Amino acid sequence: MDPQSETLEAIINRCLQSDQTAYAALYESCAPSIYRLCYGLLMNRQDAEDVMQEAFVYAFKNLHRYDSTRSAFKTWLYTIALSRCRNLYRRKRLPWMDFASLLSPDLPAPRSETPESRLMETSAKAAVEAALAELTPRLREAIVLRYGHGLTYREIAEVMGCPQKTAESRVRLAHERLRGVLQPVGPGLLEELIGIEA
Amino acid sequence: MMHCWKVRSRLVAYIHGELQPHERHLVARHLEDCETCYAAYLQQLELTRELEQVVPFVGADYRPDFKRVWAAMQSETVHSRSAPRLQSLHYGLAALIVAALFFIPLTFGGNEITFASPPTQPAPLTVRATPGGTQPIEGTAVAMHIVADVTPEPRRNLYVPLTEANTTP
Repeated sequence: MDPQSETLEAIINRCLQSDQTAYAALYESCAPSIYRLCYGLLMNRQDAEDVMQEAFVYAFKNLHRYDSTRSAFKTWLYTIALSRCRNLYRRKRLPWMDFASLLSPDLPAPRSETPESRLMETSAKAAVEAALAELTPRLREAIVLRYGHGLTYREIAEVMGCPQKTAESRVRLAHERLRGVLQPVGPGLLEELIGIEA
Repeated sequence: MMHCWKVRSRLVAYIHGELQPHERHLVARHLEDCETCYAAYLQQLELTRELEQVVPFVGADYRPDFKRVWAAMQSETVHSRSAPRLQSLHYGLAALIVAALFFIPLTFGGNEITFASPPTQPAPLTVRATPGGTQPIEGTAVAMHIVADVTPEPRRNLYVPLTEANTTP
């Protein structure tokens, strides 16, 4: 067991003894990634915050049900958040996309600060994010879990509640769709990003 | 030797390192020999690198606010504590109403439930004044007698004016 997961387990144990500081610590360690997941799936700040809050409230209230032998805590939390996201986009289909918030000025500052590089970077990010929004919810889930959170196919399958082969084919299908959508932007998209990073 | 279509369907998993060693070896060998599949592999690899650089930053600007979640949790806990009582009260009330609707007819009528006969057409009224030794109040009828067995006849004047003859019993 690695030290980080051991720490997380210790925090969970303290939570189960109704220690409010432990709840705060657990939230601080998991909230950013859960928000990224919710935002990546819903593409809307307010919805992502609401769903994340709902997921955490549920998780905290049902913490005694979490079984560390069955899955990692983050996987369990991802499953809860994903199901809440699904509930939301079942209720309201993604009718629009908040491009202004996607091109957020709060994103980490690039290493190169010239106006041209900033423009190129934001256009590259906007292109990828707009392409993500074009995917069906299931394909977007697979891509966000794989690339946004580095989950393996087995973990993706666990979170999405499907067989591993299905998770794999969803990642592959999403790749095909994204390749089709991103092609009109041009093959130099990656070079733009690499050029900025260098 | 793997077919091209099979290799293409496994390329993403190959790039992600998700193939079994034997299958991985087969794909790698095919890519060495097939230029078309190798070109497809490069395209997928480029997209993979692009997504790996961009997707982790989607929604990465969030600052956690524990107070909001804690307050929501507290209010939900309070709500869930009071909710079962209120809910059971509602269910109890509904059950009481259903029981009352079922038992009230049995209670009043015993076991014989009789239904009221449908109303008949109302008969015309005749008003007779019966002084009977008392002082009649001016402008009001003293007594009323309903004649129920009046069969429909050609209309006639049923009003009998007050006279000495018809007021004596």
